[in-house]
Amino acid sequence: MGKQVQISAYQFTVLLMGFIVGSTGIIIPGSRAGQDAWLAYILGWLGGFLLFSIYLSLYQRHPGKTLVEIHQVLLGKWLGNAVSILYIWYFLHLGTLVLRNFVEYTITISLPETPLWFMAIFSAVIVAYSVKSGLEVTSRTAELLVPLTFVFNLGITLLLSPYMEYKNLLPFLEHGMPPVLEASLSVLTFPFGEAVIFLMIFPYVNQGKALKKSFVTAFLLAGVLLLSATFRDIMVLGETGIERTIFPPHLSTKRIPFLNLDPFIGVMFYVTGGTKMCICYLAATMGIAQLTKSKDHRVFVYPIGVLLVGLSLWIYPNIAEMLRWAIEVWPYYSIPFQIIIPIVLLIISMVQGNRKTSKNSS
Amino acid sequence: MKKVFLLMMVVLQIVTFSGCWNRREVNDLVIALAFGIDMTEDKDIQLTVQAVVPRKLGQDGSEGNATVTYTETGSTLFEALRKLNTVSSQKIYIGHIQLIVFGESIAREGIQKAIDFLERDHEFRRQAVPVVTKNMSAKELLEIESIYEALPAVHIVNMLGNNDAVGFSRDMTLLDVFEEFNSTGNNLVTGIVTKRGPELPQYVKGLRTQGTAVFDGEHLVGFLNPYETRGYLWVVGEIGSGILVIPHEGLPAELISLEIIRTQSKMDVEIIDDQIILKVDIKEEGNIGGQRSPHDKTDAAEISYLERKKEELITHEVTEVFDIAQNQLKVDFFGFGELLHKKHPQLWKEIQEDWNDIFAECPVEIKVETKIRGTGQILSPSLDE
Amino acid sequence: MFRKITGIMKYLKYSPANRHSLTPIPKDVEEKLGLDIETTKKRLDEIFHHNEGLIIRPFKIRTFPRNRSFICYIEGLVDTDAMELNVLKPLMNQDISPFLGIKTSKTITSVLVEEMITSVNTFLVGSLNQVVDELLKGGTVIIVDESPSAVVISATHWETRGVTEPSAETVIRGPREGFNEDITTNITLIRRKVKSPKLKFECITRGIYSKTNLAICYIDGIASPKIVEEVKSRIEKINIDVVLESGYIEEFIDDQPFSTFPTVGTTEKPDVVVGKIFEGRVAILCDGTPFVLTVPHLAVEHLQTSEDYYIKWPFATTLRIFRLLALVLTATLPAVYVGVQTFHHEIIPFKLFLSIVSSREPIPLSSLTEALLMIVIFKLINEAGIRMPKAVGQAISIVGAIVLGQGVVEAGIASPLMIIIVALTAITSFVVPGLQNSIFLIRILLLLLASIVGFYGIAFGLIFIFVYMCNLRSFGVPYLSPFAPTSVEDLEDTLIRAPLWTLLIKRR
Repeated sequence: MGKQVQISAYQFTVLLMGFIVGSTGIIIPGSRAGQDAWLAYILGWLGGFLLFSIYLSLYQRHPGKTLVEIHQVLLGKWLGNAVSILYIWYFLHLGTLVLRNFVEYTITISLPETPLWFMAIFSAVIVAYSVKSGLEVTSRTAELLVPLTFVFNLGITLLLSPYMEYKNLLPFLEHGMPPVLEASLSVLTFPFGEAVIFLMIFPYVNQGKALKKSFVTAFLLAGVLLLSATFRDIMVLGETGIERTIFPPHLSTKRIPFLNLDPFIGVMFYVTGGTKMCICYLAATMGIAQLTKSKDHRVFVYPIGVLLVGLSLWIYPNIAEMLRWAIEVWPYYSIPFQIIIPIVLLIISMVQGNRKTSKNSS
Repeated sequence: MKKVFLLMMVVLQIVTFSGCWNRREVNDLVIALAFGIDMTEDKDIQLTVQAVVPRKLGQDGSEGNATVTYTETGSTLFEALRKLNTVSSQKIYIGHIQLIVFGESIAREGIQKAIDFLERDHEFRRQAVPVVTKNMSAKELLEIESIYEALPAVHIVNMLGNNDAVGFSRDMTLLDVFEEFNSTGNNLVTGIVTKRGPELPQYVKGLRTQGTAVFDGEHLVGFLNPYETRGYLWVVGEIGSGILVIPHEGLPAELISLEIIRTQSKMDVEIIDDQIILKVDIKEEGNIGGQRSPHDKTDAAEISYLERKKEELITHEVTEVFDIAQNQLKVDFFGFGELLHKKHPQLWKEIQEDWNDIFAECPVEIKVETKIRGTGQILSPSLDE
Repeated sequence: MFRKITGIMKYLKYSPANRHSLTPIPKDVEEKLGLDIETTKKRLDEIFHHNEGLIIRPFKIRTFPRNRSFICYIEGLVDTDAMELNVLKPLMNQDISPFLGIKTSKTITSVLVEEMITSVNTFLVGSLNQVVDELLKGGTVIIVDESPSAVVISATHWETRGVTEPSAETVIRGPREGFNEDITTNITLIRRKVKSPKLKFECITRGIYSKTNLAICYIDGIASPKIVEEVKSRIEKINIDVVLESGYIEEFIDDQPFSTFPTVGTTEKPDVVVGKIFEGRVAILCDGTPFVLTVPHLAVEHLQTSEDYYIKWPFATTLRIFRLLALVLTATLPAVYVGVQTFHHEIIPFKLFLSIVSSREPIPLSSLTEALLMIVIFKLINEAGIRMPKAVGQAISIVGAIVLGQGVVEAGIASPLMIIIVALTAITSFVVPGLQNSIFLIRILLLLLASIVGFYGIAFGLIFIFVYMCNLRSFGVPYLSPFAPTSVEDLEDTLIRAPLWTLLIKRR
């Protein structure tokens, strides 16, 4: 397969960080747990480590193979391809969600009269251009821009520190564990479990051995960033503030006097969300390319792009529906893709591996 | 290759036809400075907007203020605002609102009607200063002119802000209103504006911004006078500075003024034998600012006397405000309920409904510690005997 | 219409590899030197018909009185004093025939070269084509009757500009010499700074008619052989009639012919060139121009100047940060202005907002039109100022500053703030002179985008430009390196200029 495109371990780290922060930066993961969102977040985060280890060990059993190829090896041609198609749909869907999220954000926050389709096309064109330029260019751009968003986020947290009240973290576990666990499932599936998409990216990293290190770094950095953002928003806004607003981080920056960061937050969101979109988009096009055995994924960029924009406009009638879906349906919808199938694959791979080794020894 | 051409056409279309949407030139806007919200007798909402007249801004010696007020009524706030566009020459822009005035009428009726729009709109400035009028309507307030400032609303905002030096009003933004309004177990307290005399003054200098308004839920239930306000600020720990006036030992007519430099206060609730006890712990530091008598008050014994007196005064102010809260208004506007919620969530769930009644019965423990640090640049007054 | 566009698109797809074979190279027919001197003379006259410069002077060599001969050169190219002293004088005065053995007319020319002519650079050529070439290059040719070869004495002499300070790249600290139009002088200037045999110059002649000398200059062992080979092969493919300036070469060896960013660097200063070749770059000198090309050329080079290395490093670092700031400002300032004016009013502090409102109150134009108008006016003034004679230049600046600047404000066409913005944009654009033209395009792009969706437009535009720049390569090196792809050890000479000792240790 055409895996001449190579990205460095550092680029991979940055991509993964951008992906995790992605669209999570403008909402609070696990906000349903109210003031215990941080706990839900931490649980989801730890679960994320576990899940990603599963993905990584699955890849390491089949080095140099993308998810589509792993499916073909483990599940056979027909079943494998069917599962691959499901995954490609999943990636596409994820990209659509992020796109819609971004558009919805800009429109709610600062441009209410601009039509959805315009912002969707506008932002998708740049993503498409980046995808068309390939993984290498995408990761270079990410390398350039994603660190900026981290600095920006850190700056916001520092500026907001006078407005934080640790009392807002109380009462601890007011409604007991169940809502926290439920929220932690949604944190696990969004954003951490979504990293299953990197099974499509792994083979392009030129230092395969450094994968583990980069993944841990990325999870730590991005995770700490999101954790600090979660704490920040809970402490600034309090329980009601978090539960009532659509985009809590945006509201908490309104606390900073004489400074209006509205558009900048949107832009920062576009950088990380755009990285996420790029990866979903890339994974989908590369997946199709690998399924159809064509050498170049670029052919599929425009059709998929049109699909992406169209879907993003059509998929929800309004923002309330979008939020309901993201909170109530997405976690369960994601479970097979993020948890069940990878584990099944890993088990099959282990069984097959054992059989092979036993055959070899006998 | 036709694709590229098509793309170019689309881009061209976008560039040429997108002149509308959210695009607004600064000079196509009427910049609103202040919103005044009243309730008419027909239970409609009357919106008064004070807006900038840019033409009058830059010129020297132009007569009067660079503002104009527009008033319109509507069944909702948003409707009234949109209707205002038909009165004003351009679209009204609310991203730089400085002041938001709740007329006494709407405050008594319930501010929920007004707040929701403010919270929902993407543009409305969250750092605007909220205020409630007393004995006047918001419309009347916004029509008063300023001598010093070109923009009366800015003058009023500054007046409110300057209360920081005396502790007679609350320094807050609209965001605080949202937060306090939405929190469980706390009630809103905002600054007020009232007229100095019985007549409606012509200029802003004829207004008084001391005191606060107390809400129960969305309804205005009462006002606190400046000293009661200070008592409230002692409890919630928002006092910036202020002057405490204490009578001279032995000569009650001779007064000593003490400046508040640093304060720290802590609210707490404690449950002892099923009895909820409200606790306030105040620490204060200050300087001697001036005295009316020629007697030296700077030796150690005298200072400890002053500290004691100051402690008494603060305790008195706090007791007063608790008296109002528990006996007169029966509203917990300090936020003890919120504290209880945080510390004892289970108990809170049971008593949440009738917390205000329970609050009225709770015993209060007030602990005040004061200190005097400095005496200014002189040790003893002139004509020291 | 469509066909036209597809034609253009086809041209867009041109890669550097197939961009050169536009006109076929005419092959010279080898023309032997005739044995008869009269035919040769006639032929030369024919070739140089209507070309008054050719001087042919017949004379007799004293040693070989029987063979007629003539000396010919092109007027103005030749050092005539040296010719008289070193060539004609010995040939016409000395008779060395007693010392010679057999004299055939075939060996006459070699005898002349070996024993009689005292000039240093003397050699033999065998064909008429070469004779013509040498004449055009400024050689002096002696043609002897019945000899199959001609003697070329290369002692050129023509007027060149002195080594002066270049006007575009002035420095406060650092060498003030600049290249001139003579490639030999330029090579000398570089050689004087590097006294090592590792410094290589490889000469190539390009241009069918101009026969311009090019020299590829690099340090053996530092420059990557791959890049050197690539440069050579790209230059060898160039096939045009005339090379007047290194810009011709630049356009032919560029990686992305349609790129709006310069991927080939130019400089007029020998110290800059030496600095660059010691960083592993390849320099291309071109006869007839003081501008030397350096490749690969990366974006970061616009933040660096030669002076950075001559002043203390903390100051150099500060300067670089300011240069980056200037770059950002000059690209985005008008767009930010328009974005703020039309979309994001609330991000301006209230008091500033009021003053903007009052200053913009009487202006009938939209802020986009206002900004575009002022940018265009400025660009025109700038362009006029460059082309004007220096004496008139002053008038231009007065017209620009007073008549347009003040007049536009007083007439209520642009707000004073807009004038400040445009002035700042202009000033900052001179901080990074190499990118001026690219930045101008970016500025306009961002301006238009900002007028559609405000800051989101600016962000989209910037991200698009970043992706575009990440796509670019200069001789295989990513244009934005060492930022993207990041290589930490190379970052020490980018935004920060690390102390020289750390830089130089590594370079060794």
